[in-house]
Amino acid sequence: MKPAPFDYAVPRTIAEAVEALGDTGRKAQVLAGGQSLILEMHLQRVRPDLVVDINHIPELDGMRVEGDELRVGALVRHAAFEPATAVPGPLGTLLSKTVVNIAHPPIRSRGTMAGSFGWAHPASEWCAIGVALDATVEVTGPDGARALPAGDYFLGPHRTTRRPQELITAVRLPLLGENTGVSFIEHRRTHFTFAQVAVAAALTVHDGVIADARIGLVNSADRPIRARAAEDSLIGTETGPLPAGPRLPGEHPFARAGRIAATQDAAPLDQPYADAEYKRQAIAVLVGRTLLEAAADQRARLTAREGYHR
Amino acid sequence: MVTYPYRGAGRPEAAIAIERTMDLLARRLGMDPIELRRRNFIPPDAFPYETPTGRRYDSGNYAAALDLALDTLGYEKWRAERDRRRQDPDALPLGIGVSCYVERSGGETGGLHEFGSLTVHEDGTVTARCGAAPSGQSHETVFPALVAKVLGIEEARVRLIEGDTGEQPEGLGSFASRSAQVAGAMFQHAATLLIDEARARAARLWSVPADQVEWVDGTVVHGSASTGLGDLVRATGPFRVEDRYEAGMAFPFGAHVAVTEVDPELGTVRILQLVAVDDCGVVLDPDVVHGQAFGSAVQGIGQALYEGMAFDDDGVPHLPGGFLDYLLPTFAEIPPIDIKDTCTPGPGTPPGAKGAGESGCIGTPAAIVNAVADALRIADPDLLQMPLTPDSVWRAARASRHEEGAR
Repeated sequence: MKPAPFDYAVPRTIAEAVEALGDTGRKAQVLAGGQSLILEMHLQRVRPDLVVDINHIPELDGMRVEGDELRVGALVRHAAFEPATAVPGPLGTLLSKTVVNIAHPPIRSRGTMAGSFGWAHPASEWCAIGVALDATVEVTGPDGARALPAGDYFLGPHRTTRRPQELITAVRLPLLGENTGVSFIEHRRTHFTFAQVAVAAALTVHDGVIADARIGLVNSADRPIRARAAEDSLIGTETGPLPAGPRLPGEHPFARAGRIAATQDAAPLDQPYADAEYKRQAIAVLVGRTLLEAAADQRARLTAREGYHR
Repeated sequence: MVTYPYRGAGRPEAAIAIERTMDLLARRLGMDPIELRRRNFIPPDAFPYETPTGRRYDSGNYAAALDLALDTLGYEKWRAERDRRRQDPDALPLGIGVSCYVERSGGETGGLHEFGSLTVHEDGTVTARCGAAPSGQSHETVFPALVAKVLGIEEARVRLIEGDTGEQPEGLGSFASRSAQVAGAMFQHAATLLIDEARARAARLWSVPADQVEWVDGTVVHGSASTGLGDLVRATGPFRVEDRYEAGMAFPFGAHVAVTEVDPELGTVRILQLVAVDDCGVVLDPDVVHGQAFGSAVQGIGQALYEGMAFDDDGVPHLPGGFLDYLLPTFAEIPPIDIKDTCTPGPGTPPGAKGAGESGCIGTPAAIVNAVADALRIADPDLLQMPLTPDSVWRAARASRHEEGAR
């Protein structure tokens, strides 16, 4: 199929883009990587009157560290996060471990992180990380710029607190400290498909005791969610000797956190080949395994650091 | 929209029913499933073999295919690993599954024939026409090569035209793995007709008996006189032979073996190795048959693990994401696959070829499902229904474990 007819604007500045989006008489869509939008337009499930192509706005490109945050411009492609060294510290590791789960290399070379936040698919890897880490979504509209906390940003599938006339200019993620270990595990039927369930975890450990836990759940509700009850169950817990994995003893704190995430935090929806009961099982297992990997990552960082100082 | 037959339709269903039953029977008897199969193979000297259901199996050596499959796999090594993992609570369970299929190729009685012709041109080239129609089986390579081989001329001098009723009005087509077996036999027959016609024309030209004219690599020869095909056409006029040729039904077979690792907590199945030994009689083109067997085995993986249509309670297809939920294996899902063959010629046609190309999706699914059942050791095989999606395997894994020798 071909897309329904649409007008096409190519602004050169954020101000021009916002002006183009500001016409409330026409339904507008922002085109960045277009890896979801163009497919949906071809299927005519999305029929914008106007497509605003932001690819020629230089100020939206590039990412940089600002204070204790990473600011990712709206044109930064998924592929930019593939090298673990692209972003400093454990955050770089987490993004690099995650990005390979996003579709295929050609899609990653074009699709953008900010675009994922704009599209707000419940199975988006980036969005779950954003929620877990308290990211900030920067938007600019006719009434000026706003900074939207990711925790409140997602309202449901493809629904966010961004207003239609607002353009996402960047996503800001907090850098993670050296005592934080990270991991990301995705479960899907083939490499081609969206995640049935995926989990992002960041564990901050001081002297063998968990001081902070961040758990993001992918495709475990009608929006990306943070498993707060599971996180709370871990605070103050000693990591202790780590099992070899991947399977955890049922009484292990990580396995317990997995069950809490599955029963208290998640609100999974039935899908073909993954009903809510199965998804809860997968969430419980994946949360446990992801926490185990994050704890092992933290321990490896500690060992490397001690080796360096010795 | 272009539509075309799907590989194996009907035969995978029969194979999975038989091969799952064999494994279930072996368990109930407390016997090794491979040994049970060996004891029940039809021996090579029993062919042609009349089956109780009224089929006449043409030829076969089933044990040879199974032996080659197990050797190629390294069966003893994998069995030791499986047994080791059964003692290790941290290891993911591993299973080995076997499937020894027999299929029928060519078609049913009344549909075992094909039409075709060979036309010789003044430049000495030959145009071959037939009623088969390819959907990727490399007819363009195999049929001209077969005609050229019989005639003793270069392959480049034979051109194939198919799938055009303006060129070839009658034809049955490509299905039931019949192209090489039936259309191939037709072309071998037509090439023989061409040789006979060429000798008859030369005999009239030279006023000698036809049986004194020899055919030598694309030329007719009598004593010191010889004429090539092109000159013969120029001297004697338009040259075309055509016929309808009827082949016999054939029964290709093989042994497929799969090793799978199952994550019981998530229900994911990982194929660690797949061996497919097929016997399609005389192979006309090894590269083509190998490619067909490989693609077919991948399709078998698709059937076993991925391809499925969900329906709601009212029988309405439930695929909100379309083909995002109807999955095919992609490059990332392809395990190590060994494709091997044994050769038991088919007596039903002069070339000795039996059907190839559908074998993988017939033999492979049952091997994979048997391997998953072996890994999980579940008592009720009905719990494992294709496609073995993670959710269905997880539910099967939760069911009570099979006890050795339980009846």
